[in-house]
Amino acid sequence: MSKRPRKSPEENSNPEQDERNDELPPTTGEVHSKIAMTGASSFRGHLVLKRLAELPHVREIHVFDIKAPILQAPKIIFHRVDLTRDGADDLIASLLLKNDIKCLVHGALFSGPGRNGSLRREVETIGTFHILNALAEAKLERCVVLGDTFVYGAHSQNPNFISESHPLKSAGPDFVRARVDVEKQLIEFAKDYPNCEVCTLRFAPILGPNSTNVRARYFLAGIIPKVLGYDPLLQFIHEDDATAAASLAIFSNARGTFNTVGKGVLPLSTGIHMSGRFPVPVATPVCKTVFSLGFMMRIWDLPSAMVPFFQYLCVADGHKAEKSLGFKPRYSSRQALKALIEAARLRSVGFSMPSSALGEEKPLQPDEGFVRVY
Amino acid sequence: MHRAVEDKGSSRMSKKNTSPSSGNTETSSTRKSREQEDLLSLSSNVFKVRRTLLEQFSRIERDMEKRAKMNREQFASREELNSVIDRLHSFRGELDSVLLKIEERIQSSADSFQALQTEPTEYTPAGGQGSLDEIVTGLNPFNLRRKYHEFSLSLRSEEVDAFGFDPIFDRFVRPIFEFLYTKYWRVETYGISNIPRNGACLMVGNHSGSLPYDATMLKMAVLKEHPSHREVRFMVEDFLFHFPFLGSMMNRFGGVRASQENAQQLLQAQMPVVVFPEGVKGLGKLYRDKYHLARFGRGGFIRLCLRTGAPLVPVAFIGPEEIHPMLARETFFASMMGIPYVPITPTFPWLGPAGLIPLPSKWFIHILPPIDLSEYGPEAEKDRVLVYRLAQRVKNQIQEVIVEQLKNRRSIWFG
Repeated sequence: MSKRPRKSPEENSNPEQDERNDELPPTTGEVHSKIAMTGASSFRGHLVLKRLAELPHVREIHVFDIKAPILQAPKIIFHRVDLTRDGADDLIASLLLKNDIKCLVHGALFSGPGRNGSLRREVETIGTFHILNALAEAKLERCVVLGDTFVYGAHSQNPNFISESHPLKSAGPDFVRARVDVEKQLIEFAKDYPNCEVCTLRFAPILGPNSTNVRARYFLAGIIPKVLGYDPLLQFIHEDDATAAASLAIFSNARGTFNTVGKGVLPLSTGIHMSGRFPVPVATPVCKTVFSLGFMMRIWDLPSAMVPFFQYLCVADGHKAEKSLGFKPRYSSRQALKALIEAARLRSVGFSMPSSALGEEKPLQPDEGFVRVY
Repeated sequence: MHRAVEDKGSSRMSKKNTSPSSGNTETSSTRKSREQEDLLSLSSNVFKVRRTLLEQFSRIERDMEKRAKMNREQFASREELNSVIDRLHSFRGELDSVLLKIEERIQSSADSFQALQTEPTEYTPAGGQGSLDEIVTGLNPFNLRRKYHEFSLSLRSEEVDAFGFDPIFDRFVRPIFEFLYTKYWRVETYGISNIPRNGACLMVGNHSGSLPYDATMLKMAVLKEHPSHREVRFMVEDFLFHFPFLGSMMNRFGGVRASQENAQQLLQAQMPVVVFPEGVKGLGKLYRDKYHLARFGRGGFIRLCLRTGAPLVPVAFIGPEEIHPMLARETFFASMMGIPYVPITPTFPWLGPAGLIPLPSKWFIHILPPIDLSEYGPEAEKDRVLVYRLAQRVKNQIQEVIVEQLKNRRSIWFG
């Protein structure tokens, strides 16, 4: 009786082939066959690395990291580099020059606040400093940075949709300030070295069947703290969309900053009700205390710095990426969250799902009770 | 549920059994009476089968309807569920008619043996039983959390629009505002045709009344009385938008935080937008300053209109100034709470939460003819003098209409 559209077997057999054909724009940018990468062990970096390793025209992927990536493939060449050490820039530059690499993906940036704040700050700010030095020394042609939309910060004065030209405020929690510093370094570098195309992607929080970042753990925790009386709109991007956006950006010649976000927005409370966990509202005056107490006692992974993100908007406008990068998200924010929750339920009964196997096959239609206003 | 069906069936059977037994004595034909009894039992069996089938079908239908209503698309989308429900419904109808025909035929053959009066089959839908069932499962403590989430999700849409407007929640709260509009404040709206039928327009009004009731009433007016029943978005001041509960609720029925970027995006999406250039100064007007318009900002709304080419529609509200007659503004405790002021009205802090009930003044909304600013061109927004002059013109126009109307108003409460 069900009329759910099923994929035909031909479509099922080689979906990657189709995507490759779609996402290979040989006319727009130079197709780099050798790509360098940092931060390949992070969730986002791992996805991008997997996608790059699948592409036939990529011959070598050089990974600079302190730890070898989980993914093993003959294309992947690992170089042990500590980005926080002095001399990392020389080492990376010499490796880039020796292997004649022209494109670098900088993904050694954290997806949120962690337990080790000083390490995070060192890797983000000093790591980016070293990477940019190496870029200047090796005269690279292209650098793609995988950033996040939280650099805008959650402020009460934020507009509903933040555009790329919105000034970054160096105020707010530490993990935002460190990232604002990184973005400022990038802007300065792009100005001083116009031969290098610097393309910064700002991803919305990445959710999907396999994501493990702070937001994913938030929705999967036993109890979910929230701020009493506040129900901000949230925005996510599905991990498949994030990977697609990253590979689009690597093989194009677009410069500048792009918000890569999913379709639509979702109120926080709807997300909590979807996850079916128990919400614990905390009144505003004691909010920071309770959040940091829970963080200290390891009940949840949300330091008090995350509190404004549960009060105020931090939603970015993805129109620029759609216009000049050609990135169109396939999943809405709600579908990304749904994929996460469904995968967690399946995992609890012993099924593990690869990325892009879950989620709804049919992307959101604009006439399904949802009016795309903007 | 099943027991009820059986009870019904058995009572019917006993009824039928008693009546033929009385007939038996009259006809005194044993063979015939046995045949008759067989037929009757067959008939009651068919009746029972029919009832059971109907019960089962209606149970499945109810379950599916609930699923379709609850926004839970776990195994099928809403359209699929609805199509299945439709097919179930038609199938039930067919089955019902076929079985009813068989039953009637048997009944009539039994009646040919004897003039037996059967009561018309009254079919009671098992709604009462079902709701009892639901209550019992609802009280199950292991089920409460799921019920809570299901209930909360049933009050909200699956997809809110880009600015947080939620159509299901809007429909849920609409009766309250309908009551306020028609019964409580008896709003009279004039010049509704000045709002264009389609395309963007910026409505500029005088602000008052501590809470943005005026914006919601204008929204109701356009929704009820405008020929194309348009959805209006209204701009809400920062401190109200970030007030616990209030802000998120207003966001769900069409409020957007007041900022140039938001208004511009809404106008570019061809939406009618309400702005109040007076802002907090208008909202927190003292009672002695009532109907004296405060400064109209720095003309940001004029710049918006020049940039987007949207027509400007001035709106004059008469009446909202009296719903919360503010005698004084308390600022010491307010600054501790992080809000600009706490209103002191004849009722508010003294009666507690009951003081928050607005007074039933009589409202008039005058929508003035639209002002087309597109002739100046989008470059004119850099002309400071022109922008400020236009803002003053709009302010004076609204002020004039208010004065004109107040001249003819006899009573605050009856207009």
